[in-house]
Amino acid sequence: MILFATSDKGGTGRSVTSCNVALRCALQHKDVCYLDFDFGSPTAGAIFHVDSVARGIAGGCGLHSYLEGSVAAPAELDLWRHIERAELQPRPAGAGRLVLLPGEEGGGEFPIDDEMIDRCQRLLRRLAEEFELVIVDLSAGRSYALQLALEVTARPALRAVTTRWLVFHRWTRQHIIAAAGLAYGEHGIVATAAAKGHNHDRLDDSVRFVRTAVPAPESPQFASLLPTQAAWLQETDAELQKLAARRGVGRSVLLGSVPLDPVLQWREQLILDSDVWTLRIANKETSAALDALADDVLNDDAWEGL
Amino acid sequence: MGAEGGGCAEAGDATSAGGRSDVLVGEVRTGLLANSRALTEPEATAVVALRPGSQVRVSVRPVPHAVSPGLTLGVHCPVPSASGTRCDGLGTVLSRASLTSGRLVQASTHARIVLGGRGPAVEGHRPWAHHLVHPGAIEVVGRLPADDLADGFLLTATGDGPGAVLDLGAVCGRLLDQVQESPILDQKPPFRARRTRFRFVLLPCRHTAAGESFRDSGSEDSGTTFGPSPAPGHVCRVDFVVADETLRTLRIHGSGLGLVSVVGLCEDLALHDWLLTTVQHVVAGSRVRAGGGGRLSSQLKPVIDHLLHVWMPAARVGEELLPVWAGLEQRAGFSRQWESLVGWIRDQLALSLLAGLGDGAR
Amino acid sequence: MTGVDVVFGETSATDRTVEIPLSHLSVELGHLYMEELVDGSVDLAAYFGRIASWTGPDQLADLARVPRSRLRASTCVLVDDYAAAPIGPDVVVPRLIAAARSAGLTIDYIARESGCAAPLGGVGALAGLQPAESLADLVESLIVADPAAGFNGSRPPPHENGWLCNGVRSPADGARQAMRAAVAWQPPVENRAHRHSIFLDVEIWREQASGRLWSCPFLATVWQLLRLGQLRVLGQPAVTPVDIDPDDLPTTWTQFPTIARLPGRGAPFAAYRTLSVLDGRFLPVEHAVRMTLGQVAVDPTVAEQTLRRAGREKVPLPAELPDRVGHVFLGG
Repeated sequence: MILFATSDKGGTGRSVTSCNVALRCALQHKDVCYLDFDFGSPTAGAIFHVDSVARGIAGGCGLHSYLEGSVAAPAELDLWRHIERAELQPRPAGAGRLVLLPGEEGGGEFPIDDEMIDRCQRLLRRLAEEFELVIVDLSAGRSYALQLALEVTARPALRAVTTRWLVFHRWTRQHIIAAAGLAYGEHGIVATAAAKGHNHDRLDDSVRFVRTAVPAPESPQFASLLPTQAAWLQETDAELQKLAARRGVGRSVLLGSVPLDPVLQWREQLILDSDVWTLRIANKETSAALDALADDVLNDDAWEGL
Repeated sequence: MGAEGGGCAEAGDATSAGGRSDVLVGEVRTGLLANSRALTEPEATAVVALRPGSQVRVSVRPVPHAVSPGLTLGVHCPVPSASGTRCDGLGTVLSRASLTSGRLVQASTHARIVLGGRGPAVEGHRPWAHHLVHPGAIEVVGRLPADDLADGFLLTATGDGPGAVLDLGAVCGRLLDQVQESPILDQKPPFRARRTRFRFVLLPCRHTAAGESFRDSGSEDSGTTFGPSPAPGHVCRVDFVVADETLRTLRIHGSGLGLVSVVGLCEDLALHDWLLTTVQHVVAGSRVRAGGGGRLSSQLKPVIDHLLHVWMPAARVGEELLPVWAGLEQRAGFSRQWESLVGWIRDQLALSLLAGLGDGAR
Repeated sequence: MTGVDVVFGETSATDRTVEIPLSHLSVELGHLYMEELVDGSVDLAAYFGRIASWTGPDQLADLARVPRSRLRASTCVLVDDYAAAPIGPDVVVPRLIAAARSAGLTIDYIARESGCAAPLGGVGALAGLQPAESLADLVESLIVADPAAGFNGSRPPPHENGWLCNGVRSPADGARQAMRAAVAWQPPVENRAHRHSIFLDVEIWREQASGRLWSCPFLATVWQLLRLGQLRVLGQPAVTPVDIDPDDLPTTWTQFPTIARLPGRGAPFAAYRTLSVLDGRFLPVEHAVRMTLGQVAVDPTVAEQTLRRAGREKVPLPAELPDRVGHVFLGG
């Protein structure tokens, strides 16, 4: 399965959430690979705690060079050998493969052409052959990366491969409207895909939303709120729920919600059990939400048509 | 007016004077076919009918096997060298794709690299058509020892990387992709498996191991190492290395061996190595995850369904190359390891049947 | 175990490639555009007269490199009917035969250019495998492009856009990453140029609404390969000449065989070498043909069979295809 991670706006926590999902799926025995298609700012290495590729890989062998045609295959990093977190060394028993295809240090956005679409399609099909889950983290908004993803998935060789789309958005008015626009609006994912030859209904069925940085009023974080503040929080949340439903991004297409957590917001890192239980820097709700999201990503029932 | 031929080359390899030697280099990539079930013979034939009008070779014993026509690609670039010596080569590489048992897919690419030649062909004055007369040969300008070339080719860290040197792996990988993209395939393999890369070189016999006898001891000087030789071909040394999780290398020293049969041997070895690697991986995973209660791990089922019957070592290997298989069996213990894995899987199967019976009784 | 040698073979596992009869030389007696045949602007008798002075038996034997007494040479004409064919075989063929005869020439075979692009028939026995759609498709799949210096196989070969050249094109403005510099113009370069480049870029096909349109030089290359007897479909001859009766000719070219044999004692159509006697205006086309032929790798079995037979017949034969092709270009 190929999972495209998108968001209309930057700062949604799309990349950090996707990286955490990738890790959790690999820990649950799945072979997973992660492609950094955030071409303007390829920093997945930093989230995965791989310092050597924190800003993309050097030496002209990353995804940029591959898509431009200057190398025959992009570099693949076995993350179990590179993640600099003691808890993940050595590779946990029974874990599946976890591989990062980094972008390039100093890489920028680039317009796409037919040969690039060929190369991208070839790469994704090969990865889908070897990995159970291929996560492609796309640049925010209506980007070249998103266009490329829609082009390649319309190709016959990839039509047979299961592809799914996750739209990340924060739990705010602006973000809800933007995410709905990216998915269903003019020149949005569904409309563009249909124009490129995708089956409209099938694609429509394969889009789900993930809410990020969601304040949970019942969590201990908000225990010290004044009653007026708590009431306001409840009221705002209810309004946002209504807005989301009106815009077509309500519960029926919701795959998961990740609570507001400073570790995700500030550090953008992998959340391990030790961060929750030993270091106690991350909330257990966050960890549980990421676990649930990882389960649902691979659970066909969660993607059943409506 | 009129066409004046520049000399009339005879079929077969002309031997030029002076220390010429040939090195065969090649790579085989092996993977699981991207289809939910094994292909039938007509389907398999259609998948590897990669060139219109050319024949697909099909055989059904001991396991179904379909081979695409040979595909030729022109290259003009430095050949590999461990010492970093830059020697330009010009010529063609040959590739073919094959399906075994309608389940496993392989692409293989090879070239005979002609070292130490002199004259117009390598100096760059011969027209391109000259290189198309005997596809699969690359003529090299300048002096490059055969071992330097072989080391460079086998030890290159990854292939696929940026760089100017001959990249057989990329050619091979592209061909494998092309086969896997066939519209006949449903892109739903029963399980995920890594591709493996198998690099090989064939060098002339130089190092006479103690106790070995040569019928044709002069062969190393005659410059016809791979040509049709009156003496039966033979192998004098084989080195097989498991370089990393997916890369294996094989170095054969031999004389009088047919190139086509060496490539066939390497495809056969690569196939069985892939089977071992893949089944070993699945078994290792199942051992860790064994849920107890005698349940058969869900990962084992597709292995039993699709892979166990494909093991047919040396099925398509010529007489003169059988010693290579025999040697590998003795040292690397291919079949012993396979039997042990298969035995474990059968035990699991038996246990799960017993557990099933127990459940039924209760 | 006893020492019995067991040889196991499966017939389907081995290629079967059929040999075809070969003359020493295939002589093409001129080439005319269809318009010229329609409007009668060319004095055909005079035209063949000029050709005849270059195709005497001594000249042909010399070109074929065999003694005159042994020479097997066949003659042929290719009718240009691919683009448009307002008049049919019933008009054109008798006119060509009569004009050639008046110049003392015999035409053994008449072929139609559209046959090189038409769907292939006659190999139905081997259905199940996809035969080539047409001779042109077949030949296109045999192209092995002359690699530019530095081509190491890491990228796919670049001839898939319908053009074939003999070197390196001027770099085009391709896709660039944001915030990177543009590239300056560079001249094209001929591979292995003799001091200076003569760069040639030939259109092989063009995609049109009605399908793929093959270029004239490419169909002429297919024609040369047919005359050289180098094309097979699944091991069978790609085209076999068909006998026709000059007194009973069809009115349209689609009813006409790809290669028609006229009554007479003509030598086999295909030959070790070819000679084409043409107007000088066809020089660019034939330049393109030679370049394309130099990048065609025919089935190695066929190539080997031909060389071996030439050796047995003691006919000197160059291994490279372009060297088997000769031309005479006539001035105005």
